Amino acid sequence: MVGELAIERGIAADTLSDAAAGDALALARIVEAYHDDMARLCFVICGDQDTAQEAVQSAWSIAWRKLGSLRDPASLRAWLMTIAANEVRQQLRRQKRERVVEIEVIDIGSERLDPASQDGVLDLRAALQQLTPEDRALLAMRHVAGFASPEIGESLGISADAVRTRLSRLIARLRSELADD
Amino acid sequence: MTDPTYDPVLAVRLRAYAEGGVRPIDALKTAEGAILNRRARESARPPLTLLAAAFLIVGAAVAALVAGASDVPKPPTGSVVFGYADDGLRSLWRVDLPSNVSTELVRSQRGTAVSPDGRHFAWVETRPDEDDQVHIGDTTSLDDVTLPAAGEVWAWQHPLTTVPRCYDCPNSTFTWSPGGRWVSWAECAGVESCHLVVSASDGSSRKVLQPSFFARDVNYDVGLFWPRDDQLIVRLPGLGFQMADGDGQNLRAMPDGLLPSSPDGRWTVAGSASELTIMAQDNTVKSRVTFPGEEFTGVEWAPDSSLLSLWFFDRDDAPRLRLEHLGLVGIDGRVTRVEVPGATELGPPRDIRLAPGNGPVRWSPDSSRLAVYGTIVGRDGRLIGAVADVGMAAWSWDSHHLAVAGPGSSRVSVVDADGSHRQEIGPSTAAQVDQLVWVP
Repeated sequence: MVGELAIERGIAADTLSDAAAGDALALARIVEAYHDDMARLCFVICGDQDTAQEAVQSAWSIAWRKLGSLRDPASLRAWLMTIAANEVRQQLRRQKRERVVEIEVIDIGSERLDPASQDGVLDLRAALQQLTPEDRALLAMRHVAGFASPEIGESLGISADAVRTRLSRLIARLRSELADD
Repeated sequence: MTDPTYDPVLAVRLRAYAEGGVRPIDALKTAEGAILNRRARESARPPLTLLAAAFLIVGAAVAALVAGASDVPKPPTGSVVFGYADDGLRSLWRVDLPSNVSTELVRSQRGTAVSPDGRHFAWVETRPDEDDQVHIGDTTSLDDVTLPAAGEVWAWQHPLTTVPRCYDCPNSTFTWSPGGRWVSWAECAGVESCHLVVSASDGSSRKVLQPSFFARDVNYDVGLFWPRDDQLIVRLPGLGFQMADGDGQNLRAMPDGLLPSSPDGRWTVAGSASELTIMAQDNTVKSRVTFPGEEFTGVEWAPDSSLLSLWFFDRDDAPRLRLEHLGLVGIDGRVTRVEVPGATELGPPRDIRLAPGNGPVRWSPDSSRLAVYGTIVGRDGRLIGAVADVGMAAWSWDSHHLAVAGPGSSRVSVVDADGSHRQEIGPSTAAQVDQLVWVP
């Protein structure tokens, strides 16, 4: 449950209101709790560490401004992840407009990898790059962030049924592509 | 039963891959960056309440000066007061019109801020081994009142310009009430013992606001504005936003989402960035306006309280901002969208047009038109005229003329109310003008 996660990470309602009022230390506590999760999500969507970090920084700006409108602290994580996912997709659109050449990223966190090795990761990366940012967002929110279909649907503005259908199709496609490799 | 939307093997691989996005960060720096960046990008808005209140200052101040405009061109009268940095000092000038006689009011190392109504100016006298002193001068008579400070008067902004160090802190060492009755500054007896002080500009009262704060908090956690002479909004560490009487007494909690009341006191607005509700004083809703997919950045009432102007920035090209359009909202909720041709691009971090209190809209005192930087728009949204290179504008008290300055020019100019007949006034300035007020 998202609420449990928020409680586990010790983000109290007071911290939220302090952060919303401009208390940088309070916001830093929230950043510490959720920044890495947001970066992981963004990285799967964009495939580039710099873009992911930039998107998360930008997401924090947006989140800080809107923090006062967040009524339920239990929904903090889902809310932040949604902002991050939207922001990184926005950045990708912007990069496309500006014709920025995507930088090949070699740093893929190899020390934490499954024995599938770097080759496996590069295969996964190649497979992901064949998908649209929206599809990568779907996969990341389900498999990395751990959200259920209704939550993903709410975040991305599509129905839960549509999420389920698209996820099933995406998983089948990725299984096939990764098996071929 | 297998969940077709979840593949545990794929999840393991994706999570391992996702670690590539993680990088060690300094959470505090990230948080400060988020706050600063948002403030810069939004022209010092967050929270909307505080800055909107600041934007109201000019409108409220001039509301009392309403005079009927006519179509017959008249020579500009009154005085224009403006300030700028000059060779390590701050200089403040008064130019009398129509004679164009210029008088330097003060050249000082610190402070130097003209009140919103242009009738007073404040500056700081630093004295070796003694506490600072605050001086309040009369822009017309040059009479001077000296007010004591306990310790050092803290510079909220770059000491030589009024460009703030951050975009949500007051834009000068001094913060004035719109009518010039009250003035506030921060004074520090030590870096851990700073206070906000509210003083009557004639020195007859002095209120030290509690709690104290560290000097480092000044730019982020401390601030205050007077929406009206009798109402103060203050932000202090640990307390968040509070309201107080004009003299700083009776500090109390401020309702969420409160935006400036209309100058006549009849209407209150509340809302978020995409929704605006206009309410009567008994809290009954008069009208509600939504802006789907858009977010306004600030609001300012027309002096006659009949219209509310909202402005919208395009933030896609951050860190640069582009003024996208305006909305003119009637009390009945009717919205007129105004596209501003050649929409102004603003560039942080030191663009004076992003400083608090320098929002893009300046209503004429008679509420007949508004200046959006250099574009002059009628209250019906009709474009009337345009003046090039305008970072600041100030209407004359009779609404017949507009004083404009920079950012590219080193001269202050006066134009007619339709933007025509541009005439330079006063001396050439050494840097961009960052304070500009028209005094009756």
